[in-house]
Amino acid sequence: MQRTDRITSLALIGLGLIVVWLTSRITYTSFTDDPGPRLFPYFGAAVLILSGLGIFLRAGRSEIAEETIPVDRAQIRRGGIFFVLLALYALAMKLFGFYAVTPLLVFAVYWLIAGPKRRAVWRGAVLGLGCTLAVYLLFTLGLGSYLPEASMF
Amino acid sequence: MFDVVLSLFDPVTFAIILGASILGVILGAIPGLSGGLGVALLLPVTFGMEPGTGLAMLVAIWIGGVSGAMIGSILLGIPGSPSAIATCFDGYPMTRNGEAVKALGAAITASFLGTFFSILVAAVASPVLADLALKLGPWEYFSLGFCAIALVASLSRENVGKGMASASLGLLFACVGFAPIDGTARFSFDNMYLSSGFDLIAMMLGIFALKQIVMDFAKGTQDLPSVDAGRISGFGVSLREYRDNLWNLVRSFGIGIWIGFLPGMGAALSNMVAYAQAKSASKHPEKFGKGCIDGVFASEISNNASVGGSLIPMIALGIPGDGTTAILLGGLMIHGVQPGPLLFTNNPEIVYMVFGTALLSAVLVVLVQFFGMRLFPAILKVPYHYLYPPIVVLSFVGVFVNVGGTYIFLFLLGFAALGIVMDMVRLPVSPFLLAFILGPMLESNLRKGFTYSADGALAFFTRPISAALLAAAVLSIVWPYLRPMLRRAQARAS
Repeated sequence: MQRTDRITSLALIGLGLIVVWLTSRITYTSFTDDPGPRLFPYFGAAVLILSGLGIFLRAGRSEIAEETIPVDRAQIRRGGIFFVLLALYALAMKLFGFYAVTPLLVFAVYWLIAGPKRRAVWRGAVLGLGCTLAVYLLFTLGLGSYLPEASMF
Repeated sequence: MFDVVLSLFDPVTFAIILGASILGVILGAIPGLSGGLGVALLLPVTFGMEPGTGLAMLVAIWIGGVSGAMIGSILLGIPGSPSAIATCFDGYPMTRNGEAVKALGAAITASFLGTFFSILVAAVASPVLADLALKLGPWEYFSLGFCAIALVASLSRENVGKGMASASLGLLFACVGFAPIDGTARFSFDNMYLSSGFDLIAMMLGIFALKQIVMDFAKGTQDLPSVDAGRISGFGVSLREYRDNLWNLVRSFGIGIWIGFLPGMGAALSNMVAYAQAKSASKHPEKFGKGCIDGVFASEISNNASVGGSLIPMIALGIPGDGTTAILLGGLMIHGVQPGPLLFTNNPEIVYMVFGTALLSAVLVVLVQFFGMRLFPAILKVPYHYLYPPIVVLSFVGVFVNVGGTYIFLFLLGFAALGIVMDMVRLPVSPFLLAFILGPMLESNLRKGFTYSADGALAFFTRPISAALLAAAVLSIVWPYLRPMLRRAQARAS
């Protein structure tokens, strides 16, 4: 954890310095006594840099004994796969619209989470169609909202 | 007044209030939706109604929505709206410990007490409290917001630096888009989607809902929590637990109603401040975050007390206390009613109708939730492979409906990734969210404070209330470091 904290603190300090640099490039027209739109980002960046320094100094204290964050490659891979699936859903919904891709997404999420022992094709299909129908009833019919439409066609 | 009571119990009006209260609870419980969204969506429906009936419907949805937001927080760890973020901190651990019904019972009673008594206070004290609010200037508002953030950041007792780092990240995220007062574009890099800033709902659903689902899948979590419904009577909370929390309830109620009636603040802030205070003042702060009922009481009574609090400036001054009351205010004006000091004189029946509906709706909501609280946890018996796919879909649909563009999916995923990274490096998310919510208000008041006084920054320290709040903020940050030093000094002395 100490190593993680040191890296985190350095990243936060670096981010704070980047914000300071970006803030200094903001151009604006000043009113009478108004400190302008740079003040608040400077304030936020200053707190970030000071906090980063605080975390760095604390991580250096030998009496702070904390557990290290275990890096489980299998977990990262599974999380990554799921995240890619969500990203694909977002992209596909923009291209093909809500109704075309949602049953597939629900099926895929069900398939992934259920695992080989619990999953069944018909259950996934029913869940996918049921979810899509429920969202249609609640949002389109019930609340009169629009859902994403295909931009490809 | 008697006419108003009669009209509330008119079968059609009563049915509308009941239906709207239930709809509010449902909307509040669904992540991404809220009673506020329900008020906005159904506002056009009221155009064809009598003003009193239309307002009754809107107020009932609002009351139901604020109360219903705790259901998702407790059962799924996903707050239905920002007003129930702090309810997650102990409500969800209680569910994981097999105490879902007890957590719901505590939240339901606290919600009812908060709403009911805050409405009574609002009805009696509106004119007096509204005068008080007008005496506060931007210096006090900035200091109050900063104090709230410092209090919540100091909850990370083992590392306040991480709490403050998280809060400053939230402040910087709030800077993206057009600056308040002068509208200067900041950190948007000429991107039209960034120029309007980040959306709170996308942030909340990304950080709570999608992050949780991705991490559960990554870890292979499949164990369902047990449910305590079978061995619970009444609300599932003992009289002793209510008695032990009496001061906690009173204090959190006070925080809720006070923050609610300050314009621009609301339940999203009050629940976290009340939670922070409850933890700080507790004899057993180590139990917080692990399923402590005190945290649920504090969060739920305060966010519902903000309902009455935000009605005070709306009714007495015509100033909305939060986003939802802004829509309600619009509803009043659309129906030809001018809110403000003359409302009591010109349209007393509207004032009585708003307060009467809120009280009736609070009673109906507590009855609906009492009979439903043993059914709600049925959701916990649903295996994750059936539960999570609809939540993923609702998260995407919720942010789309809120913003109206598919670009928001990118932000949703970005915030999910941010939530995962913050979890991995142990940066707490609550200071981040609170700072993001308060950022625009803080900046606006900071700049006004500089401009309105000839003393510039000095005015923040010379005005008594502002100075006291800033001192409390500094103390809450340094106290975790000071306390061990004081203890060591005491030990050496003895």
